[in-house]
Amino acid sequence: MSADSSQTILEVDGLKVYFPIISGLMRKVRGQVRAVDGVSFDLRVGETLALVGESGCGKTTTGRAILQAVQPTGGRITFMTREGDRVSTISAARDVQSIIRQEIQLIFQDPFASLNPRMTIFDIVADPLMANRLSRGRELEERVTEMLRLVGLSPDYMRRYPHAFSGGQRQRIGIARALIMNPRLLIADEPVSALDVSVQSQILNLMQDLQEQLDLTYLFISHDLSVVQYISHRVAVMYVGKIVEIAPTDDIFSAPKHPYTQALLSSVPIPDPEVRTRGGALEGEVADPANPPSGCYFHPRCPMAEEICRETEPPFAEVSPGHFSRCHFYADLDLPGVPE
Amino acid sequence: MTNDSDTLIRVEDVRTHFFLDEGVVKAVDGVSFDLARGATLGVVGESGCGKSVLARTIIRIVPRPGRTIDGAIWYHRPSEGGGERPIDLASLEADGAEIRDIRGGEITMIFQEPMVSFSPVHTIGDQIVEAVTLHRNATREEARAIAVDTLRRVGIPNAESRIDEYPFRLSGGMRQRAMIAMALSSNPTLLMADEPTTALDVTTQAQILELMADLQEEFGMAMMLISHNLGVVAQTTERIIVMYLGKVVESADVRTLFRDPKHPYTQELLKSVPKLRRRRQTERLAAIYGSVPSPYERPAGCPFHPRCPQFMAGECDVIEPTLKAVSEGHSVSCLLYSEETDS
Ligand SMILES: Nc1ncnc2c1ncn2[C@@H]1O[C@H](COP(=O)(O)OP(=O)(O)OP(=O)(O)O)[C@@H](O)[C@H]1O
Ligand SMILES: Nc1ncnc2c1ncn2[C@@H]1O[C@H](COP(=O)(O)OP(=O)(O)OP(=O)(O)O)[C@@H](O)[C@H]1O
Ligand SMILES: [Mg+2]
Ligand SMILES: [Mg+2]
Repeated sequence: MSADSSQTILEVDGLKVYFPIISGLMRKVRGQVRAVDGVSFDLRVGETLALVGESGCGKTTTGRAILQAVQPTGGRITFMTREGDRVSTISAARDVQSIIRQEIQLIFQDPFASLNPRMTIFDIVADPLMANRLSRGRELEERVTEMLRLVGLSPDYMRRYPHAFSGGQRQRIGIARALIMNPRLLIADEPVSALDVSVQSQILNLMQDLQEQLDLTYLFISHDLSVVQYISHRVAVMYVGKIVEIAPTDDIFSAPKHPYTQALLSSVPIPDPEVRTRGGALEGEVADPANPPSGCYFHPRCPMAEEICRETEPPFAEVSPGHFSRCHFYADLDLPGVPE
Repeated sequence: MTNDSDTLIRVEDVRTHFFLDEGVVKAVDGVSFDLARGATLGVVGESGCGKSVLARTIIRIVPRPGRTIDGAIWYHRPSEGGGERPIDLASLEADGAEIRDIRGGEITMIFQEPMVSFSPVHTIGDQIVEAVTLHRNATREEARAIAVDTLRRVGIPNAESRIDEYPFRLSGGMRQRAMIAMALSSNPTLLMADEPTTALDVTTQAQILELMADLQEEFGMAMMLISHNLGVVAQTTERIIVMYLGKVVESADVRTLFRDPKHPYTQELLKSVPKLRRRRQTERLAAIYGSVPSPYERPAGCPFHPRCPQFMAGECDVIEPTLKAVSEGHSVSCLLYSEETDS
């Protein structure tokens, strides 16, 4: 795969998204939810970066900020267009905005909720082109046919409604719709979480085939580490609005350098009754992003926490080329990763 | 599998169908299994195969237009003076006194949809106290003490004050714990948990599964755990039944099922589970061909035949296999194995 040699398509630098907490009759701002709090990473053309972490850690908000669906509180997001221009997604002029809107597309989590039940498959898939008046008539029909074939659906189904399709087929429809704009970057927010394992594999394989065929770049948001391992070249682990570790996939799974990453790996129930995973559960609950703890946000749950962890926020240190950890003890940690 | 005195529930050829304008959905269609006292049973299978309807059938809360039209559910009910009395739950009046006494008391359920278990307008304490007074012959003060104690046992900090919270004020993990507390507070003989951790993070899931395993040992109740996550059932149950389109296609103890699956569906299902390894996996994931057919277009013969890699034309699409033992405690419903047992 072209992942490591090729050029950057997206740079996220110090991204912050805070949501005000408003209460009372006077609608006073009582505080802020630091949903995303200084997130930086880049994406290279043709690669898949996974964003993992517990519910509420800011994965979806990061994706929405890239899609311009939410206004960042701070930081920069730079996108490289097909023409090779470096553009800031936040302050871009309108003509640049429309380029970004075409080149970055979203695949939704829930194939049941995301398709309008009153629209035919043709209307759903053609919608982005029709809404932007980019195509019509025969040409549009041919384009929809091509997209349905690409995702493994028969064009004969074009006039049917979503209720006539299974979960996996609906997710294919959602992917066809995202691809019809000929995007380069796809943000896939939990694209297989609502599917059965058997069908989940079909969609993951399809996403991989499409990536190779069309040189697509994926930001793959997921909480399922077993799935992430198949699809991604690199993994970023988020905790309470921050990336706590980012590394090539192999490093994350075999030599993690953050206790939180290890806790996530140890929590996955292994589908093998001969391997007992009981006893490794992390204690406590995720910190509240409106009221995070002092020092390292993970310290109240961390089995290795010491005084410094309560007092000082750890830096984002480079463990080895391309492998960063936000832990004071990254250099001394000898974590097992996934058991041999 | 078990001698009679061990049996808690024996389900015999139960059928629950939904009679809709579009046709009949055979949600549960001839299911049989045994569950021993204090044992754990996992129920797995793809979405729509009938797992939830099976659990609802046992406690007689199948919603209209569904009806249990056939079969028996023998519940070996402990009687007052020790000993037990088998009663057929399927033959009871669906809203009669006896089933209402059992449901929510001796047999409890954690529902897949969290808001079915809890009413949003009452505190969790009130709801647990209600269940306890109804089923345990306790005063309100005693019931409240039991409720606080159970909440503490499921790991809710400050149980004395949390008991007066409303369900929506709790985090997902805490609400799940409260739900387990409610299901345990009546000291059930059987707890049915329908996808109890599916909505939770892996870390919280690991906490809840450990908790359920500890409590199951401590309370000694039997547990039926419904899940589509094969990792979850592998780690928490002793026996497993695999369902496909309303039928049990394979049943075995958990080790046998994972080590030596016989039914092609079970084999394909196990292959398609992504496994956590130390290195990035570049080979393609195994996927089951096609998808589950619509319940109105149920294939003739073996319901799995259109997706089966070992399909035998002229047999599998004609003859409907039945569940047969291939070895002690291991049964399969597949024509590949039918001669061995017939001869
Ligand atoms: N529009 C909003 N207004 C206020 N708070 C919000 C808003 N959107 C998200 N949040 C909060 O920001 C935090 C991050 O939410 P986000 O949806 O990004 O998490 P996530 O990692 O995608 O979680 P999940 O795995 O549950 O999808 C949460 O605390 C959430 O409650
Ligand atoms: N109230 C209902 N009315 C009509 N059909 C129903 C009803 N409840 C369930 N069914 C149908 O019965 C079949 C079995 O459903 P059930 O909910 O038991 O599946 P399940 O195995 O629990 O699936 P999941 O994994 O998605 O929870 C499905 O075809 C479903 O559509
Ligand atoms: Mg999200
Ligand atoms: Mg269900």
